[in-house]
Parts: sequence; C-alpha cells; structure tokens
Amino acid sequence: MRKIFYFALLTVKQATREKSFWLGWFLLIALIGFALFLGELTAGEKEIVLRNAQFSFIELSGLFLIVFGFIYGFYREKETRLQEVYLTCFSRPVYLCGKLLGYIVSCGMYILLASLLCSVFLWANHAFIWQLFWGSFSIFLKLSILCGVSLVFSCLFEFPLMASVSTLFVYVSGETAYNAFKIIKESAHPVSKMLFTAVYHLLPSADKVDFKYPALYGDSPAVTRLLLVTAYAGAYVLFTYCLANVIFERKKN
Amino acid sequence: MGGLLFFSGPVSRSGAGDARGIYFLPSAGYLRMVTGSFRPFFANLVCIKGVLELTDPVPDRQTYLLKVFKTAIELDPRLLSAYFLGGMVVPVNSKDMPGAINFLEEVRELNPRAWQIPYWIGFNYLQIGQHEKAAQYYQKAAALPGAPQYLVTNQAMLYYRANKPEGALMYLEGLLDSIKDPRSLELIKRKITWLKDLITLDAKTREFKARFGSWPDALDDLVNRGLIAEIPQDPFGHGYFLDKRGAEADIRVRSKFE
Repeated sequence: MRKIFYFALLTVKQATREKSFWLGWFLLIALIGFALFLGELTAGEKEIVLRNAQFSFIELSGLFLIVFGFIYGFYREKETRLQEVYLTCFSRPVYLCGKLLGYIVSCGMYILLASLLCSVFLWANHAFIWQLFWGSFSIFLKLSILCGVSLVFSCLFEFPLMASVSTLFVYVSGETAYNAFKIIKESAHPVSKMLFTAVYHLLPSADKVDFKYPALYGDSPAVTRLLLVTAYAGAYVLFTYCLANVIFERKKN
Repeated sequence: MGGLLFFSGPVSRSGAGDARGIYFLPSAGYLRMVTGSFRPFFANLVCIKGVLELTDPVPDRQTYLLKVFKTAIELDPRLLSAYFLGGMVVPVNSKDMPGAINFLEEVRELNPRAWQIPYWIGFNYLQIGQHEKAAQYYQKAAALPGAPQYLVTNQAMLYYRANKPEGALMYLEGLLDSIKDPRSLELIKRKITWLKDLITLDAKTREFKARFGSWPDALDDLVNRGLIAEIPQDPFGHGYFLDKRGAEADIRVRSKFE
C-alpha cells in the first residue's frame, strides 16, 4: 500500500511539472476572461452565465489535461525507458494503481484549485454560491472515470494519438449517450435495443454523475444520490483499473 | 507586416468582411442531444445570440427571435432572462403583444414555479388594456412562492380599472385570513373600505337614475337628494367623482388620482 501511495505521489509530482498542466491553467484563465465578456452580453443573467462558464471551462481544461498531459506523459515514460526502471522497483499492478491514483489526485488538485480561483472571480462579480463546489465535485467524479479510461487506452495502444482520440471519443459518447439511448429506446429492434442498453450502461454516461445543473441554481444534491454517484464513479474507476491491468499484463508477456 | 496591412484593407472592402447575420438556429431537440451536460451553457449562448440579434433587421423578426428564446428556455427552463427577453423585450408595439403573450403561455409550463412568468403575461395584458386578464395573471403570480407582496394587494386596482370593483372586493376579503403581516393587513383593510365606498356610491348613482330619470351631475346630488348622508373620504385618491365620459354602461364612480 505504501508503495502505491509513493508512486502516486511521484505521478502527481510528474504531472504538475508537465507543460500541459500549466497550459491547462493558461487555457482556464483565458476562458475566464472570455466568460466575463459573455456575462456582459447576457441581460440580467450574468451570475448564471459566469457559473455556467466556470463549470464548462474547468471541465474542458481538465479534459485537456488528461488527454494531452497524462496520456502523453505515460508514453514519454515508455519511450525514455523510465517505465522499465519503475517496473524494477514496483510490481505491474502497483505501478498502474499508483499511476491511476496519481492521475486522479492531480485531477482533483487541479479541479479544486481551479474552483477556488473561479470562486474568487465569481465572488468579485457577486455570483458566488458555495453550492458550486457540488458541481466541481461532479466534474471531479466524471474526470476520475476518464482518468481510468485514459489509462486503459494508454495500455492498449502503441501511439499516444490513438489513446488521446479514443479517450476523447469516450468522453463525447458519454456526454451524448443518454439522448442517443432515448432515441434507441423509442425506435430500435428488441435485439439492438438490448445491445444499445448494454453499451449505454457500459459507457461512463455523463447524465449519471452530473449534478452541475442543480448546483448552478444553488441546490445541493440529495445525500443518497451523492453517495450513489460517488460509489458508481469508484466502481467504474476500479473496473478501468482491472481492465488496464489485464491489458498491461498481456502486452508485456 | 507592411504587406499584410497593405492587402488587408482592399480585401475587406472587396466584400470579404461583409458577413451578414445568419438567422438560423437548430431545433432545441437537436441541441439538447449534442450538448450533453453542457446544455445550460449552450442555453446561455443561444440567449446571447438572441440578445445580439434584437436590433438586427431580421426577416420576420418576432417569429425568429421568439424561436431563439424558446430554444434557450427548452435547453435551460430556469433561465428567466430568456422568458423576459422573449415576452417583454421582443414585442415593440401592441400588435406584437398577442404573440408575446402566446409565447409566455407556451413556455410557462416548463417553469411553472416562477412567479415572474405569469406576472409578465399580466403586464402584457395591461399594456393592451385588458385589465381583467391582467388581474387574473397577477393573481396567479401572487400565489407562487417568492412573489413580492405588492402583487398580492395591487390586483384590486386592476379589477377597479376593469370596472369590476366587486371582483376586487371578493379577492381582498378572501385574503384577510391568510395575511399575517400587520402592515399588509392594514393596507388591505383600507382597500376594502375604498372598494366598498365605490360600490355603494355606484349603486346609489344608479338608484338616482332609476328614481329621477337622469344621472346626477355630481356626487353632491346624492347627498342633496337624501340618498346618502355624506360623501365618504377617499383613503387613496383625492376624492370620489362621477365619471360620465364613456357610454351609459361605463358611467362609474371613481377616485381622482391625478
């Protein structure tokens, strides 16, 4: 266990030294500036626009961090043979577990700091409410799942571009899965309906872990839903870890 | 750099920068499908698009702009500014009002707990002089959570303007048991007295007409002919008077407000 935490800490250190981590911050700050203009353009709903922009931009810059930071970092480790050095000290499951935990902690740190920065900005514009942190937590859960997915693809593909694009596709399909599933439920054949139902439940669908919308208007999620969603995200991360482990083992053998 | 600036001006003047507005918006159903959990943010963007196009020479302006704001509402039913912009800012004259009222009526069911929407419908009815309809919508707005206190008591005035003081009296008397705030209660009691005075004076004026065959010249005639002991004091205006400007059916006792 100590080894896992040690390696997770190492991954966090690595991730925060990456250029893409700082690019993520730059992107976020640029987008916050853009949000200010958007807020001025909406008559009477400046607060809502700014809060909405906060959630959207934190999520998008977090996604950027995973797709371009974590995945490319993983491949760089492979290319520079640093991975082999690590694997002499850590077992493969420990290496992957530490990596995933490190990704999640880095992501969480980024989301927390970004949320605090946005809160200052919102507070200055009289748009801050503490319930916004529930929305940030929901982004954290969603991106944690995506960290797991990115690890699976990093283990599966030889090239970082493939892993990045596939992660991005999973994110987009997770975002649109609910509505696509609704259409399939209305029209498709029973067999394809079953197939699509399975795909829907297998995808990390955004609608399941999302409570940004109520947070936007100052509503807190119900405790049972909060616990259920957190458990779902935890189970999903565990599932991706197991999958990544199997793929990593097979690739090495 | 110099060359770039040299060519930039002529290229702009040649028509490349003549970007006319694209007055098109995909349906809300489609947008809802592709925007996922970013739906409220897209609602904001659609609303901003509508705000920017408010002053554009858009063909079939009202239909188009109402569609834009309706799309924003369907993406985020709690975005009150889209209701306001569609229902209150898009209509520019009384001809546009029925369209704006229909718009607010249609989208009201998406956010049935917002008191502002029936209030704005009532306000639009007020603009086109339909006081009774306005009063009905103000009443609906007043019943919703968060509605300001003035909505509760101000409807009496609308019924009065609609020549229905009896309706106003019934409404205010119904409120007496539910209002706890002593200042509001005092105000309601004064309004009830005022309405009762108006109703009594109206009835006496009609009695005068039935008895003597003509309308009284002024309310003093009611006192002079012994129909009432005195003209009561007006608690809100500058005294009661007989308004004989309209048709026979519209002759009413009113308060002087000006």
